Amino acid sequence: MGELTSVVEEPRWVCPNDRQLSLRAKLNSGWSFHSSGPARKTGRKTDISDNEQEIIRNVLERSDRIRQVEEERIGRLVEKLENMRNNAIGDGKDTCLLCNHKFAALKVVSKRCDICEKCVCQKCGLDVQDSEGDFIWLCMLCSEQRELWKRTGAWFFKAIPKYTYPEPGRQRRISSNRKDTTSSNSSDQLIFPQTNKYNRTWTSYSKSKDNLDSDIREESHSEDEESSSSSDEMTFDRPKPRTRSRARSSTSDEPVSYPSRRSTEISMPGSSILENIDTPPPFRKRTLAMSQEEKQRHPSEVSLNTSSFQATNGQLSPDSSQTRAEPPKVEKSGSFTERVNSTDKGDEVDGRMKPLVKKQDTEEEDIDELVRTFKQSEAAVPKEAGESGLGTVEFDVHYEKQHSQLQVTVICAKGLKAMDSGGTSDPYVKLHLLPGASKSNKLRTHTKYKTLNPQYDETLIYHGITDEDISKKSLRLQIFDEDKLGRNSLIGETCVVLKIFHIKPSQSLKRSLVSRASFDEGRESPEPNLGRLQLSLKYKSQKNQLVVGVIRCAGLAAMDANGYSDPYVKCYLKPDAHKKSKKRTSVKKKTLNPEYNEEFVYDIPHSDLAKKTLELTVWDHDVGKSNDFIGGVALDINSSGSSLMHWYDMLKTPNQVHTHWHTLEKLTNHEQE
Amino acid sequence: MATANDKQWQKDAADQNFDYMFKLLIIGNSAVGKTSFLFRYADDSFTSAFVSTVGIDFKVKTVFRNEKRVKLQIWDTAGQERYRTITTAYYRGAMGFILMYDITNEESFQAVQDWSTQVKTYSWSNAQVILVGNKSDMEEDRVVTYERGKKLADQLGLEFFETSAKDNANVKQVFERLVDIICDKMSESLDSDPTIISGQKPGTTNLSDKPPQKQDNSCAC
Repeated sequence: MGELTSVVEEPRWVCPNDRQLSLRAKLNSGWSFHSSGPARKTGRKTDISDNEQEIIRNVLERSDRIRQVEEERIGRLVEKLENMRNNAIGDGKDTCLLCNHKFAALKVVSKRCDICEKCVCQKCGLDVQDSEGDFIWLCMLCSEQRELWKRTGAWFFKAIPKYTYPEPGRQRRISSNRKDTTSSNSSDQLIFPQTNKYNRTWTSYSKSKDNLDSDIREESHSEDEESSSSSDEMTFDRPKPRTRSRARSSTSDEPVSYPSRRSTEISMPGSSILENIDTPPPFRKRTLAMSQEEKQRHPSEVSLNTSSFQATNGQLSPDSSQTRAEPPKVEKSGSFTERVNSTDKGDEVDGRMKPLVKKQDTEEEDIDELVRTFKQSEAAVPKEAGESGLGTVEFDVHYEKQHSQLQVTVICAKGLKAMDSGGTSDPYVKLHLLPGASKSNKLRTHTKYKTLNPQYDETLIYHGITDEDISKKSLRLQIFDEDKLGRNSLIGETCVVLKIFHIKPSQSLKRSLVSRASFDEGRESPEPNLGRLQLSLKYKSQKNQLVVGVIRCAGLAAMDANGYSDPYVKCYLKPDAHKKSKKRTSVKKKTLNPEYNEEFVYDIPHSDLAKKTLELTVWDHDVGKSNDFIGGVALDINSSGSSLMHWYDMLKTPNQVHTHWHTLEKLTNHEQE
Repeated sequence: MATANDKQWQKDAADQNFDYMFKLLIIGNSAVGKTSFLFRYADDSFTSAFVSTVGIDFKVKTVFRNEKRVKLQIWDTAGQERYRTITTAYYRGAMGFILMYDITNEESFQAVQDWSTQVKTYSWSNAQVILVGNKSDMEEDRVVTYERGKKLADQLGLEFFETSAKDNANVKQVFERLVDIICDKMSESLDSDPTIISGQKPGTTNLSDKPPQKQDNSCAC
């Protein structure tokens, strides 16, 4: 834990700049001070007890949380502006910069933005008052930019402060100001580096007339180097892994195992500052402007990096073959599956850049090793996979975030292994989401009889899929041979990590089947998943009615011995003395994904709603014994997360249908039977 | 560190319903009443008991000013010199400073000049400062007259208030004035330099802006 002074005084040997010197002269305390703490008496050690350090650490943790929230807020604002910018389609001369309406003498009047001097139509700009109270006309982009600068504090720091894109499931830090190291395990870290970083956050890109303290500039400089060194790795040793033979395309379709597992392996303890120092000089030369976009532009390199990292870790899992980009090879279907997969791996790379920096010296050998190990695996794999003729399967996956749907279109399978005596099979495709394979997330196609090349063209839909699911789960496709007698036998399976659909929600995939996809079942989440409920709320202000729509449930917990439930949904508007508000849906038999589409109407004034709680509970209907409670949600002003948001949306914008998914919880004080 | 307090600040901290976020810093000699001042403003509480602040602390308060919701993160610094290295690290993030002295303590008033220099050294050039003479309730012990305070403030180009955290005099006004000044500065800076903000990416404009500055310096030799 070192002395308090050590870190803050880090740049003590840096020569102060003129401004500092002149200011120091005013202190009348001589010239012999070092950069920090002009009013300090030299040579005096600060002694701050452990106790005090603890107190300060607590404060800094608190502020760290605020900082994170703030960074996300700024991220949202930046994202919004970027979206606007991306959606600006006009040229700003003959057509409106934003909406691309063609200017015409009478219909669409063009107005020139006072800042960017591009022309926009009347709808895409607005009058803004400047500090003198004069009105200036700004296009939406410039006014939004202006607003962004105000809201983020960029007006003060002359650059947009550090921010993060607040996307659930994956947080990529995109600010190039510095690589963040505090967020991961801030509690373990010494506070003082953070204290210092607080400083740094604002330093890069300063254009301010007042000179930055040279020491701080130094710091930010090295920060930039750090990030640029990471980007440099993108191109590191690119051609090597291409030694792989093309003939092996079939085995390349190995299942992808959990990337997150790998990331946890690499989370090394230790100070990021050390890593910064460790970065070899050759990797420090790029400009700091390299950013996420850059990484995405070089997807293959990123993926190479991923694979080489695995090698450095000495753990070559089968899926490393997956990440090695082949020369672009267009599949028959016209899509390149392999490339697509590797592209999306780039996402994870970000997180492991740091450890990579450390490993770089050994990278060269590691790649050789990788190639060697790979050749070995290459020799081993075909026996059970491609050449053994289990067959291939082609399918499209589409993640529709808006509707929380994962649509899997099974197109066809080819060259399946014959399982029946007649030299054919009766194949059907079964889908599971892993971890947590159970009947609740099982979907299957129809069976095609007596064929080894079945054509399915069936779309199977998972409802209520969250971003979190996408980040964590995998989709397993299994092809079974249907047997009239006895058990259906597995022909082969393949596994796709859903994470890859974050970046590109629609992908066509073609995979070779393996006898057992390497999915680590041990990773099943410990918390019991009760299921999810899709709900629509609408307040009709004219009729003073609240309309509650129970749309469907997904992935309900199984309550009956047959592995299913017979679910129905109850709806209350509490408090309600006479239980008049009690309503229920019909019972859907033997399903874990029931569809209801039933609506309940409550006559209630808008003002009373704030005091009410809407409680929805899902029950398993049992004959002859009491019904089992599966889970429920309560919506009111005191709830949190999606419940609160949903409730709030309903209250705030009446006469509009608000549809949300809710995760069921074990409500403690729900209405009994 | 009571848990109730914890909850409160968590609520404040998580509150996303605001337009701007300003970071303010209260500085000044030890025992001039910085912490009391902050507690009075944020919690409307006061105690005469003196507890020296350890290093640094902060409170969050959201105010409604000029039709905008402004979230204030107000840092309370330890006046004691031994914490100076920690506290100065926070100068750079602050948009506004409350520089405080004690009207019953000559030494604290004498130190104002030094504090002001510190602010200029460590903060951003456009940070706003207000000079505050605290403990105006202790009129019988006063050693620094209002006029001296006002004169010094004028010299330093700062606005000046005399306050009492104990009697809750002028506390709110100081914060509100500071927020106003920062808001003014904000619209001013946006109007004076619209080119900055029209830059497409924060990085690109600044990168291109740096080299000319350097050249200016080197030509001088």
